[in-house]
This record gives sequence, structure tokens and C-alpha cells, in this order.
Amino acid sequence: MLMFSVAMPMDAKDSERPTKTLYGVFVDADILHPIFHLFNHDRMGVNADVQIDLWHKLYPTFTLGYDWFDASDEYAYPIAANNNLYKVEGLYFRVGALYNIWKKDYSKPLNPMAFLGVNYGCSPHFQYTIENYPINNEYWSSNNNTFQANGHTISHWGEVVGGVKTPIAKNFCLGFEVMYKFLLHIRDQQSGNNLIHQSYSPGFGDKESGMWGFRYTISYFFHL
Amino acid sequence: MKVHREKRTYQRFFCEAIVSLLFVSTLFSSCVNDHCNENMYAPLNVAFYSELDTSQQAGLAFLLVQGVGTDTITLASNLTNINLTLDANQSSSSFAMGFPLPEADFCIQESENHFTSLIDGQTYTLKGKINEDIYLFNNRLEDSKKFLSLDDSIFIFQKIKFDTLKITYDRAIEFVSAECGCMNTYTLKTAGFIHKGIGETIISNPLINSQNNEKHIRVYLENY
Repeated sequence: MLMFSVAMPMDAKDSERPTKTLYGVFVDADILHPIFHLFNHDRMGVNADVQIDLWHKLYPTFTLGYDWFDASDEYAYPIAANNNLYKVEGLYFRVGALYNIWKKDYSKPLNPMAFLGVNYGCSPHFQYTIENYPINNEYWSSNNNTFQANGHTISHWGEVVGGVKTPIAKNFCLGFEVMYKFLLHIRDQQSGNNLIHQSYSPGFGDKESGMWGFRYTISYFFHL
Repeated sequence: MKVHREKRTYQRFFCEAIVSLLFVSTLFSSCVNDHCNENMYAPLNVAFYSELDTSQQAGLAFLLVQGVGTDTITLASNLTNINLTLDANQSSSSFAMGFPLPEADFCIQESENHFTSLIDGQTYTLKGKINEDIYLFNNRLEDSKKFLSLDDSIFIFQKIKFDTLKITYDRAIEFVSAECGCMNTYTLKTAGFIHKGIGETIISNPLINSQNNEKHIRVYLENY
């Protein structure tokens, strides 16, 4: 608290030097994923984050989100006829920091900004549901059994973030972020004798091809 | 005045950039990997060795194999090992096998006066109604001439021994991914021929969970 309340020295123009440490807090809501849900009912995601504006330079962030993804249609390439289901859903969070690389005007509470940053992401207890995946036993029997499983597991990933944000009205900003994600770990689950690997994680996306992520945000800035 | 104009230019640039990036993001946001690149077949590999010199693999002129209870006969030629598929619905599988004695002969009579040989290294999978009068897997120790009538051809074997290889195992399922589905994996418990006369069996690697050319069962053939 002491750190946030200490004002910077006033030996330069207000527009060139920060006049205080804590300028305010952004609350961002992502509108890209709800828009996608209108066109693709198999997936739904919402997320929002809080960014603390320190010196108009550094923005520690915390993101909370929820993803629901019925991947049955998208993954059913070799086994589409079996009505197989693979669905994941769950909460995730990201913590990290952004650094504003754009020119700052400290006399204004809100400026256009371009930023780079890093995040750590985690979906600590997401649920998976697997149904009707065929167990191939063609050599011995024409009647194949199917595999069902459900449970919870955890995933971790890292992100490198770049983006822009600009004021569009009083205290409101519009922003866009691109994230390059790299998966750290998705825990495999042992269910009896069976071993279950995951293909998708809330917040990260597809394990093999989910490297890129996007956010399109509407922000409100709370002045402090 | 100039500063004010410059700031408005920045804001317009940012707004246009953000709107443009929204459309770019739609191209990438629904990426999933919907093709299976994994090999989903984990076969049991049975390798044949000479009982006289256990370090040497034995080359068989041919081998007949049929899963007991199936209508599929595999006929392989000029081989030192063979891949077998275990029954994923049971905890044991039995394979009737026809082994050539040394100097055994084999040919295919395609018409009254037309005989052909097997192509070296080729595996034939034959399906059809077996003529029970002349197809005598149960008559396991005969070494006289045997006939197998399948697919409008007559397969003629000389000096062939029959026996049944029985294998017991624990079965498990590995859910590899949403796009690949399930793979059967096994842990071998016992393996042996029902009758004496073919040779001894040893489980050299009990875990069957990938197709990486591991030898799981070694058969040390008598008379080789």
C-alpha cells in the first residue's frame, strides 16, 4: 500500500514523467469468444481480467475464464459414424504482466498503448467426458465395444502476449491481444487399468494446434 | 495543436488495427488438430528361434495362423517373426498355427495344371469357408500332405505341424487422443503351446503398447 501511495518527484513536465505509481485498474471483458459462440455452438468461452496500471508502464494481470468445448464434430475425422463424444469444460486462470512499449502521456489517465507480456495459465480441475469411442477388435469380433470415461484433470501452459489498446470513450477502451501459447503439461489420468490422455484444455485449446490465442476486449478503467 | 492531432492519429491507427485484427483472429481461433498421426495398432510380436542355437532366429518357409474362433487365416512366407492381434474382449487368445518342418514344401494350385509359389515375405490374409474335411488344424502332428481350399485356390502343404498357441494377458485401454481414439494395450501373463512338439515359448517383453518392433514372445523351435 505504501508503494502505491508514494508520488513520484515532480521535477519534470507531467506529460513526460509518471506523477504517481498506481494510476488505476483496467477491468477487461473478452467479447471474441462469445461472438464465436454465435457461429459455433460446439464451443463457448468467457473470460475477463484485471490489469493494474503501474506508472502507465507495467500492468500485472489476472485473468479468470471458463471454456466449454464439445469437440465431437471437430475431432471425429476417422470415427464419425460412431456418435463419439469428447467434451471438456472448466475454469482456468492466467497470471502475468504486460509492459507498455508505446509513448506515454502522463498528463492523461488513459492513453493508447501497445504492450508485450508473459502469462502463466492453469486450468486446475477441468472436466472431461468421453463417450462411445470404439474399441477396435475387428479381427476377433464384428461387435466392437465402446469406451466411456469422465473425470477431472489439470493443465498448465505459458503465454507470450502482444496487443494494443486504445480509449474509445470516457474510461472505456477497445483492445486486441495475440497470445502465443506453449503447453507445459496436461496430466494423464489413470482410470483402473486404462490410461487417458487429453486433447484439449480450457484456456489453452487443442493440445497439438492451440498455440495461438486471441482476445478482443472492452475495458473499463477505474481511476485511483 | 500538433500534439493533439498526433494523438488523434494514433488513436485512429489503433482503432483500425484492432478492428482489422478481429477479422484475422477469426481465421485462427477455431483450429483443432483433427487428423490422427499416431499408429493405433499395438500387435503381439512372436519371434522364432532355433532350439539348437538359441542366438539365431529361425527362418520359416511359411506359417499358417488362425485365431481360434475367427474365419481369418493368415498365410505368411519366408518369415522370422509374425505380428498377432489379441482378443480385446477376452483375457486369453488362442492361435492355431501350422509350422513347416525343415524341407517343407508349399504351393498354390490355382487351376488343374497351374501351380504357383508364395511371394517371399508376403503375408496373405484369406477369408472363406474352410473345407473341414481337408483343413485339419486339430490334426496337429500330421506331416503328410495337407490341402486348404480357399478363395477358389487349393493350398498344398507338405511336412507341416499344427499346434495351438494360447496366451493369457491383462488388457487395458489407452485413450490416445480425441482424434485417434482408443488403443488396446496388453500385459502378457502366460504363453505356451497346448501340445508338445513345436518348441518352447518364453515371454521376453510382457508389455504390448506400441508398434516398435519389440519381440514379446520367443518361440524356440524344435528341429531348427
